[in-house]
Amino acid sequence: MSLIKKKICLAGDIGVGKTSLIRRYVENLFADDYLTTIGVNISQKKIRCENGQSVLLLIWDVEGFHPRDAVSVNYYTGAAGVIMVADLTRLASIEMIPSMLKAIKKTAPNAESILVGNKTDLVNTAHPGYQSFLGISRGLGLPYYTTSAKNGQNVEKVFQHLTTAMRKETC
Amino acid sequence: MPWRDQLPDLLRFTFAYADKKGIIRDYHSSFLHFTPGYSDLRGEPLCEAVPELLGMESVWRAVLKGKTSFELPFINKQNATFTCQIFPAGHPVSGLWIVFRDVTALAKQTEEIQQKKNEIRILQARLDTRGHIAGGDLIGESPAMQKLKQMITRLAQVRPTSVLLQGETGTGKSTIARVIHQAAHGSTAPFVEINCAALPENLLEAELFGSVKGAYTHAVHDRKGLVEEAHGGTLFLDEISELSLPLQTKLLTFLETRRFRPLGSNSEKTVETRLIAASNKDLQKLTENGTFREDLFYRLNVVPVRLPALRELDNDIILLADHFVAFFNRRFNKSIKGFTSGAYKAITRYTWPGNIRELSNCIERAMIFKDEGCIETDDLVFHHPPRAKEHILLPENGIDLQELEKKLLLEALEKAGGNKSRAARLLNLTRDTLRYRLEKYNIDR
Repeated sequence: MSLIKKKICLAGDIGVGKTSLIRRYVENLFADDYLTTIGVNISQKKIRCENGQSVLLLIWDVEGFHPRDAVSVNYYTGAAGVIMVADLTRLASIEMIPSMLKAIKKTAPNAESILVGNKTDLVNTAHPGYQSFLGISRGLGLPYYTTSAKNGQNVEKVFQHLTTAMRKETC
Repeated sequence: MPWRDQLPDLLRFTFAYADKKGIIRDYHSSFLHFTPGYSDLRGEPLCEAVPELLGMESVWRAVLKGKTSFELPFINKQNATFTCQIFPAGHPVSGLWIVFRDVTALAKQTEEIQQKKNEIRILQARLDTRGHIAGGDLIGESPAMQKLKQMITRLAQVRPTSVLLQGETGTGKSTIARVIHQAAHGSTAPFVEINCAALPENLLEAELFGSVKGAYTHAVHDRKGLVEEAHGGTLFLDEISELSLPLQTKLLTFLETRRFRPLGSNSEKTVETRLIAASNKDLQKLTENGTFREDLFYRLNVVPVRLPALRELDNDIILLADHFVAFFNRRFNKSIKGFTSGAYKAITRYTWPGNIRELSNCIERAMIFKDEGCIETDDLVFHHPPRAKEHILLPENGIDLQELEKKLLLEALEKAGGNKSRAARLLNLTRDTLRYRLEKYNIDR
């Protein structure tokens, strides 16, 4: 069977932990420092579907989303899946999810989408950020997870979920 | 090598040419850096060969059709950064140019600037969120504390209005006032606090509203009052029940008009300030006996906030106790590990009439005399000994025992704010026994 390639993009405000989530998933590493991503870093991870089909995930770690920057939206072109990431400690990063989704859907209309509230290690379930994330996710009717790149909570599940959603056409 | 072939290396770019179907027809040898696993690209589909262009078939069509270019600004690859541009080629358009250009130097500069900007933005956003969750700094997860936090959050979002904090002594009225202020105005706006019981009446007026030169014997300069100092921020009047009736009148006028006249002055001043008043006395009762103006009470009581007593905060007592250990560890430079299970039990059983202040003092005292390990029951000094067994005298004409029991059950529930576990503790019953008795008397609370 030939290798199928799929492009997955991580979108979200600056500093929400997109790079950390990818590092946790691809390399199982975490660094507590924050380094701005300029442009895009592309990582690869090969996975095998239940039917034996190998899929190469090209994971695009896209710089912080700029709603008014038409060029940065180009990064999402051709994506088969989009992980929209918010920082549970920052309401602003959660509140921008709907507009981000709208802009990305214009560029990648067929992409499967999943929402992620990251940094769950820093908040409890009563935190307004947590509550706001749940509210927005339920409102949008999209699958969602709360994750921690720091301790790895749910990170694997997010990618698994997205891969399964893309699998209809992949495997 | 012909000069044309050297040019891309010199100018740090590389390119390929693809036909209308996106099939690579020609390319510069350095383009192979962008197509891992390929030794010859001729005849290969562009979107297969170049990982960065995966799934971008729609882009070709758009570029060919619209004759406009497409750009991926910064692609980081092996310690270098490239920009990828796709241009229409030929006239009329017969294909595409795909150009990768090395922009590492530009990206490094952009990154440095962006890094600083982003760090500032993230910190600012976190502070804003803390503003949204005004009670974020308050410790506790009990329903009473959650309710209080929600209330503070809402208060911080509205324009200045009067807030009346009422609660037993030591419940943290001053702290809550500061939290409301911080959430609403941030740390730059003034927070002016005055304890109305701490100043004699004749000084208090000048202190609150200011005075002009010559207003009284020692008034040698014009002096700003605290009301004016609080302009743009918060004026916190603690123990407002101690305000004299004439000053109450003056405060009422100020609250109604937002204007005041400094002592000895003929002209009025206007200020915009959030007024938070606090009292551990029941102001409504004081209005009934005439020591507190009813109209001022209603003016202050726009948003009444009742601060729960520590005994109403369930397991928050533990959280607070742990917080104070951490706090005093920092202050005394010690490493006390916490409490023994016996000490925890004693802390949760005690009723804390002096509330959070008493808890703080109790732990501070214990930590002064403790150098290492955990705080034990014997290290804790409680100022009010455990409840003595009540001695009830049976009246001559007897009592209705069932009615008394029902009354006590209702009273316990009332005191416990409807929390059955707490009500059970007040009656020294298990939760199940309490539930049985509530059912027996058909009490549905």
